[in-house]
Amino acid sequence: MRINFAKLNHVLIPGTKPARDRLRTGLFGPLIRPFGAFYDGLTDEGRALFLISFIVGGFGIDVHGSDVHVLWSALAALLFGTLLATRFHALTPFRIEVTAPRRVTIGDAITFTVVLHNDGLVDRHALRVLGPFLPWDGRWTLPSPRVPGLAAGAHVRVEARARFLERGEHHLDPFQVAALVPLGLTLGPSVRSGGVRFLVVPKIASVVRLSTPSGRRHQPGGVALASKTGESMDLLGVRPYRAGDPVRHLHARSWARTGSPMVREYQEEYFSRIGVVIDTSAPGADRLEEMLSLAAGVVAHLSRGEALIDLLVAGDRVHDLTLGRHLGFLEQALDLLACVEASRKPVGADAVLSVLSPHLPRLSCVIVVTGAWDDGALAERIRGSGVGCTTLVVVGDGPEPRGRDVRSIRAKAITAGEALSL
Amino acid sequence: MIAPDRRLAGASMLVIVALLGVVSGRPGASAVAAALLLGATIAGPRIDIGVGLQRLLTLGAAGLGIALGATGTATMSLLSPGLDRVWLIGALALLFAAAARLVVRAPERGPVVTTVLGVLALTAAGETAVGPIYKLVVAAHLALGLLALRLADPGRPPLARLPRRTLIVGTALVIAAAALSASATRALFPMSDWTTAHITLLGMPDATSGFSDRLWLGSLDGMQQSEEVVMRIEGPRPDYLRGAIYDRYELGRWRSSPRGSAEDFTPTSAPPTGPAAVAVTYAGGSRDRYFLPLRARAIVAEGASVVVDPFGTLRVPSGAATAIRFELGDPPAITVAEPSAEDLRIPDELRATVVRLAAEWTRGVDDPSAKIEAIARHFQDNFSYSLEFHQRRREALIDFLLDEHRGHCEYFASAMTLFARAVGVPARVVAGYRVTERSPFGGYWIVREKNAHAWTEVFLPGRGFVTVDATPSGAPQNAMHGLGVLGALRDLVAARLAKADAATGGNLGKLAIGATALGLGVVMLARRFLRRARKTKPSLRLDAAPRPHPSLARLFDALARAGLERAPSEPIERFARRLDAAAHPVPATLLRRYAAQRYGGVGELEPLLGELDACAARLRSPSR
Repeated sequence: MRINFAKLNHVLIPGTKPARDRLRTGLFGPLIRPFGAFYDGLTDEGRALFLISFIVGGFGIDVHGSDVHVLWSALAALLFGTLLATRFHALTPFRIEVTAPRRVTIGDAITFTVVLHNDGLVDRHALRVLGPFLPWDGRWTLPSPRVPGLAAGAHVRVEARARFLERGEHHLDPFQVAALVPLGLTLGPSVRSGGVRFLVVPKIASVVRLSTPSGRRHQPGGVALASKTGESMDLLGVRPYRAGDPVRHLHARSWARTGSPMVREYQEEYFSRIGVVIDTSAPGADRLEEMLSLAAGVVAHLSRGEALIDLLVAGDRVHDLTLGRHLGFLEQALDLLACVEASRKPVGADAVLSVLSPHLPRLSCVIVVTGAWDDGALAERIRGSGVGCTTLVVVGDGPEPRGRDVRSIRAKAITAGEALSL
Repeated sequence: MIAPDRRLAGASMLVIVALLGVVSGRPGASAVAAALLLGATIAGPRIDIGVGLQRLLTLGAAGLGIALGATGTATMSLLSPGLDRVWLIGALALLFAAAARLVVRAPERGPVVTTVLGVLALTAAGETAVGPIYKLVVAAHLALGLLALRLADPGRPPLARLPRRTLIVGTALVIAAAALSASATRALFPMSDWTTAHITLLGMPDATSGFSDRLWLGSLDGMQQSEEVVMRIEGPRPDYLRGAIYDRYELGRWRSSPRGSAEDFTPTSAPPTGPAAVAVTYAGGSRDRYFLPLRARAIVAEGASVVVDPFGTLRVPSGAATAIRFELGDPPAITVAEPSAEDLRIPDELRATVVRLAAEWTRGVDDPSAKIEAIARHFQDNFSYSLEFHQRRREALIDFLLDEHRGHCEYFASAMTLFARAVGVPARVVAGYRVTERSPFGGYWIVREKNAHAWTEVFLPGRGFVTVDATPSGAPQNAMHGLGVLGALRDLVAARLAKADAATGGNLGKLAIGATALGLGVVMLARRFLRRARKTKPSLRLDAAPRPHPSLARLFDALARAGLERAPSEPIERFARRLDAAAHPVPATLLRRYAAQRYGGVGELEPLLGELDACAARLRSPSR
């Protein structure tokens, strides 16, 4: 069993903002708050000197035998003096606004745009923007922004960048801005932004080709091929003019060739409608991530082609949606995939079919993404309903499964971003 | 061109090197360190390497510092005592590591770590009594270090561009910090002394009892400084409490000769009552014996398998002595073994000296009792009490009698015993406690480890064994004293807690934890209940609405006096339209601007408030 030390290190810190807020306002919040305020009130330099003052104090405890206590006194006096001066360096009136993209791919850097507004009548100097305390999976990739000066009434835009390693919704605590107290060891009272919320979505695997299995060509309730019916339908051919045909459909070349008026004839076509099923009972957290990455790649590939993603099933939860051909956006699917959680118990074929069967009549085919090959039990039962089924099995270094419409994908190939032809 | 921050950081390190040159007595090593630091400062940040290589470089430089500090010998230091080699090595290693970081273009974790290394090097350099130079070096190093950090920070404007207010605050901070530092340095000495005197002693581990079958001269030394409470005594003062009796002396060591086996002790059926009854409670720890006065009767001792040895000591081999009750008076419940030849034996090495001195000190006295009294008085008058004793000869008692003329109770008891034997009186050494401290609150006696004492018991015809204490009255064990108010209160609480613990069968701790948890639960429930009770239902009462800004209220007031009163529920914009209609365009415009600022964030509030006040003033006195 692999231990996630980063997560273990944050075991006492609630993972969600509501839980953190509950902790702050709870019974122990008032006890912790002074320490938090003290810690927040020190700069990196101040914290270093504060910590080192303990070491110096330890070495200087024998005041009669050495002179180290002089150094300790100087350090303590510097810190104490600057701490007393913090309250005179409040930023009022001042605003801080933070914007962030709504979603970021797992492992990629997200850029927070921080805008500082000096609404006061006094110029401000030496401002430090303090990013929020990040959850276990986050890490700042740039040092926190510092602003040498901001004139009265002006605003400035700075950036903070971080990287996150876990999918799902991230709701960060507020960003803060504070003025540096002279000597640079402490900060004045801070001004806070609102909380920042964004989604960390799975990586999109590079699926370059995906052949879907044959199933029903047209199914009831199908969606027209063209997004605007009557204006951009596919050309079927030409035929003689009949009274009532729109004049704009007249085909000049055919009319000239035959000598009688001919019109263009159009036919509405229907997309194939596809359901994507993800087996969330993957062997290991990494395998689930690879499967979700592959599912995201499949959805991205299909949504660019002549197909509609009509259904997304994660474990035993069904998400009814329609993606592709301007009817929906890939981001919708990514948002859903971002919040998929691993099933603690294996999700059996019966459970999947029970939630899938009401939707099967309107699907052309189903693509199953799994990490554990079940000898095609689920696929056969889907095919039994007259719907085509392809199974994509993510495998590690073990043998590749074989069967009808089964494709195995090496996990390494997904994580390496290799082009996948399925 | 050297980066200014690196230049200052290098200068701050060079100050420490200069200090090392003064305190270490190793001018060569200091010169090498200075040259290296100067070179690194002049070279500036020119090496561009990754974190791993940086660490290697720093470690290598530190190793170089260690090698430089470890080789070579010290000449005379300018200060006495000079800096130990270990501290010099530490300081040089840290300085060399800092020098290595000065030449790296982007050192790991920035200039803060370099500053920390410098402060640590300064710490190592201060591990001797340097004097005022150290204060100067600390001030210079911190000033240069802070300036270097300032210059290295891109988020801080140059000093020339700072407003005057910031410069004044910065200067005031430096002055205040210097004053604080000087005061703290002065205050640390008395604080350290007080701490050493109080907290260190209280924090000492339980003093080990010196009572065993053997008594080495000096074995009570450790106990003499311990404030650990041994027992609390209710009732009349028993004075000398016997714990161990020794009769055979050999080269600084007393032991008990075999006189038969211990017998089971039979307690008195009824516990003693009345004014002479004494109740002793042991304060904790493992005790293997009860301490009793020579004359104790009606003894009731707690604990299983209590035995009494031939010398009259009450022992609990299981180590579970907890409480004992007895009565002072004759006849004693425990009989002490009759004197034997062992009680008159004087070691050969001591015989000549002891006999000669005893004869000299008791010249002209015939009565054994008077002789004993004369010897004891001689010790008390001509010898002094001291915890310090310098042994030169093989036999410490010879040093005590001939040269030192001072020592603590064990020396006096030993000498007194041997002198008594020299004049023909059987005598033994007894170790135990003296009872001298009384609590003003609880009305009980307190016996601490520091009250451990040794004395002599001599056998006088017709009187039996009698206690003789030859230790001068200056000994702390012999001085009667009370507790301070705080000490007495603290001990009273401890005594009550010990009683309660005994009453609950040793479960007081568990009960306290349970009660605390219960109390916390009650407090939390009460807090929740009060919170819920305090929550008021939302109200639409007008008086609960937020009051307008004072400037706005003043304008409304002035307009009302002019006959233009705003209805309580009238929006500001509608009121402004009404003012327009009533030919009051100025207040109408101001109110519109206020509404725009208040609800839309448009414009500046401060100047607008001034204009509202001015308008209100004009309305009140139109002549203005």
